[in-house]
Amino acid sequence: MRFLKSLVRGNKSYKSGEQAKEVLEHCVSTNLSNNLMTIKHLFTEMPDLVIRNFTISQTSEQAALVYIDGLIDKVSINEHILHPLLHEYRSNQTSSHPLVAIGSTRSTCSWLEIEDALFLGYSALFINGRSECILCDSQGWPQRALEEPQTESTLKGAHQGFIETAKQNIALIRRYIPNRELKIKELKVGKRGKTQISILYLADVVNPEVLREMINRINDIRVDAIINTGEIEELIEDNSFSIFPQLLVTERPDAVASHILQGRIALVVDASPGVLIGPMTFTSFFQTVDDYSTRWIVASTLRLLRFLGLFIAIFLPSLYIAVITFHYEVIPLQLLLTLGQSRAIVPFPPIIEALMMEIFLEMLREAGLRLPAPVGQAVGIVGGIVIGQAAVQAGLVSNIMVIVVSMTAIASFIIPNYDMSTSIRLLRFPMMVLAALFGMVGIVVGTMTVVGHLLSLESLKTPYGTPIGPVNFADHKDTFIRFPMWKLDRRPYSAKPKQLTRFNWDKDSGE
Amino acid sequence: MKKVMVLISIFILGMSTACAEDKIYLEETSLTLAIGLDLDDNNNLIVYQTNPVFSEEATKKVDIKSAYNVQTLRQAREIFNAMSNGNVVGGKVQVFLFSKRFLQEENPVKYLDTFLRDPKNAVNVVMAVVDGSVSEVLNAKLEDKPRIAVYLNNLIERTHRTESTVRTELDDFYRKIYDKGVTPYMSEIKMGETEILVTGCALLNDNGTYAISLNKQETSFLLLLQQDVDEPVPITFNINKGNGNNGTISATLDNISYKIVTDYIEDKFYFDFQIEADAVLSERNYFTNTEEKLNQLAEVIELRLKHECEDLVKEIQEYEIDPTGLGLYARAYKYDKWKNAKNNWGETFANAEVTVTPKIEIKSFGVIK
Repeated sequence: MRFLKSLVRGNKSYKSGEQAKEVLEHCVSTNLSNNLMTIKHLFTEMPDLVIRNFTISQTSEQAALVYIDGLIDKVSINEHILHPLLHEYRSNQTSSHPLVAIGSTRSTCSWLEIEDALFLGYSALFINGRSECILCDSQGWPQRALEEPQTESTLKGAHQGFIETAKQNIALIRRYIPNRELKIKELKVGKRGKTQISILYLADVVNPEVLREMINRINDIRVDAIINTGEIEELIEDNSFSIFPQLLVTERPDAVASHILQGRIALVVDASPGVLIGPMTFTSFFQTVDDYSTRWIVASTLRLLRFLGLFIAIFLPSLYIAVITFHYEVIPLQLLLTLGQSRAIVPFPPIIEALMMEIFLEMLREAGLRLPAPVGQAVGIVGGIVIGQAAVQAGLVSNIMVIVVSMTAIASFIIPNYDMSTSIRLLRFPMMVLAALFGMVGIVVGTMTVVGHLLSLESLKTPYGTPIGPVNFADHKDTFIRFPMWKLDRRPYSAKPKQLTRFNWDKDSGE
Repeated sequence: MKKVMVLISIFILGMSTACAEDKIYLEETSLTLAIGLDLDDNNNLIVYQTNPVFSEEATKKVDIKSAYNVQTLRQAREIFNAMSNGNVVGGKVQVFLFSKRFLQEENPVKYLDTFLRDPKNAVNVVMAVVDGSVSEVLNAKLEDKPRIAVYLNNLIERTHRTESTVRTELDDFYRKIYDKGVTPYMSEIKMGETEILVTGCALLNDNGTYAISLNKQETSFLLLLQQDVDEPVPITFNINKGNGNNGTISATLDNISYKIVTDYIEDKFYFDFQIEADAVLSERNYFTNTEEKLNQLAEVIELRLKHECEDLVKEIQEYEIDPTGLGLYARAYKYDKWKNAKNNWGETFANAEVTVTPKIEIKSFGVIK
């Protein structure tokens, strides 16, 4: 047992109980070698931990700089910490504070804080004779350049997307809202991961109840670690059994800024490019940033198209099944004859035919998603043959079914939010089964169930169905139709903001 | 957990309902598109039906079946079912054909009952009388036309648009049967040498049996009196000027507005159609040398219109039928008198005095003088 333990933790390690005790109860001692010993015991089997011993030239004190390689910026460490300490001497130096050319430093004596800071990329400076440690902000880990998010590209909006560093992401948001009312609350989630979560909101706009709800829910999270924003979304959303996304995850700083300005709350999760926004409403998933930069008539038409797409994506296959299984008499005769001819060659009932095609379509979509582009193309070609003319010629599916499936696919892709679009696509399967079993009655009952569910749904305890139900006429100015910008003088009521007036066209209030 | 149980039980209950037995796959139906009723030489009923054939292997695309020795359409359906590839359904029937002989001998209403009783059956079926045998029309070899039922429906619709025939759908037919103030009528078609022709309309007695046929021009006047004109009404008159100067003029009437004066004087109803219309001269094949004669044209048209319409009404009155629906006016304006007369409105109407006073304004003589 003992051997195994040392195999896992390393020879010099404390037992885990002792570790906790050391970290929680003890403070940094005045003796440098004691401190270094503690560090070596705490951080065993960690070859990326660097301990650099040296003598400070100014005071000739023994000192050690501790950091984790890879999380720090080597230039800061070498040029701005080690270089001044090793070589610079100032005769008029009176402060006991060592000479470090780093903006953000702080002293601490708590091992717990030191441990957290080291893992965040800080470097810890221990000086012999001082019972404290100086933490210098020398963060600098590999990060990618700002890119346009793949799933949320825009034609006319900004082409910057979030990256995996929370600090950067917050900075991107601040660029849009340079206002001191933009407040940030920092929380840590995850026992082991200790993921940094920043809650961004406008203090004079956000509804305090909603903010409290958000903070409470995050504080209630008990998990190991948060790897991605999606996890936190699932942990804090109102109804995990619902098929609809109740919070928005976006990678666009402009979208986040616009939501914050509407009185919503943004959650920046460190190490994840997705920013969580809440509370949301059903209809807001059908709006894009581009809507506000295209002409309002065009934008309104596009929005209406999206809602049409929503209905087509949910209902088209099920309506087709219902009609040719139960209610042939509602189809105009000419179409009916065409349908009959195209169905006559197919050996399966419509539901089997439809399920087959729809499932293959979903597979094709999912397959194409993860494959590298050259292979993805091949999948597209093969898929085009499967869900296409060849299947019709083989007599497996009817022409009309191919058209129905393709139209459904197109209609579902028009929905701008990926999460919502996937949910909508899934919804059509139960609808198809209902249609095959009960015809139009089944579709009606299914629709009622979905609508009832939508109306009862909440997002951070605010109604999800607004402005449709509960009705809010003012919000309809920016729901199905986007009114001209100068008409949108109120923040949407859906987020229940404290300050409703967005601007006053007649007399500038100077807010 | 409780929620899940509820959901599961709803699912099981849903699955076990009998709903799914209503299922009828489109390709397994035998869609009846036309129904024909005729009598054979011994006055036995023959029912015809046509349905499209969906199967790719079948060489014929239309299937025409006939059932003999049946009393009702339901019975005929059983026979058709027994010889069909699919389930015979009546939800898409386009046209009902009755032979003239059938309507002379039989009351069609009792045969149509099933179409109003079963909501899955179509009620917007066009009804037509065939002057001749129904099978001749259904079996017509029209190679340049769509399938017969669709073609007949289009044909009657198209002819109705030019105000040359009526268009009676099943629900409308029933209304006219049950409404005491109006008698039913149908389009009339005939098998010509190679083509199917619309000859005008057939007026029926109040119980649906055949009364009299009208030609296309008479039908236009009937439609005019029925106020059932959406498109300009074409009228053609022979002008006889007495001095050998004969000719024909055609005009179209448009923007027609009506006022019907209803009265009851000396034990009989009195109706006056006051028709105001704009006319456009569309053709004349004789020459007048002066312009004022053209200006008299309005009077000429008025006079002819009055005569034609009044003659038509007199002809109708002889058969004691009222396809113009004047009974509705009697009911609306002279209810106490109507109350006594409603059970034999045909007879009362036959005694009524109907006058037509058209007022025509010629809007255009065309682009040439």
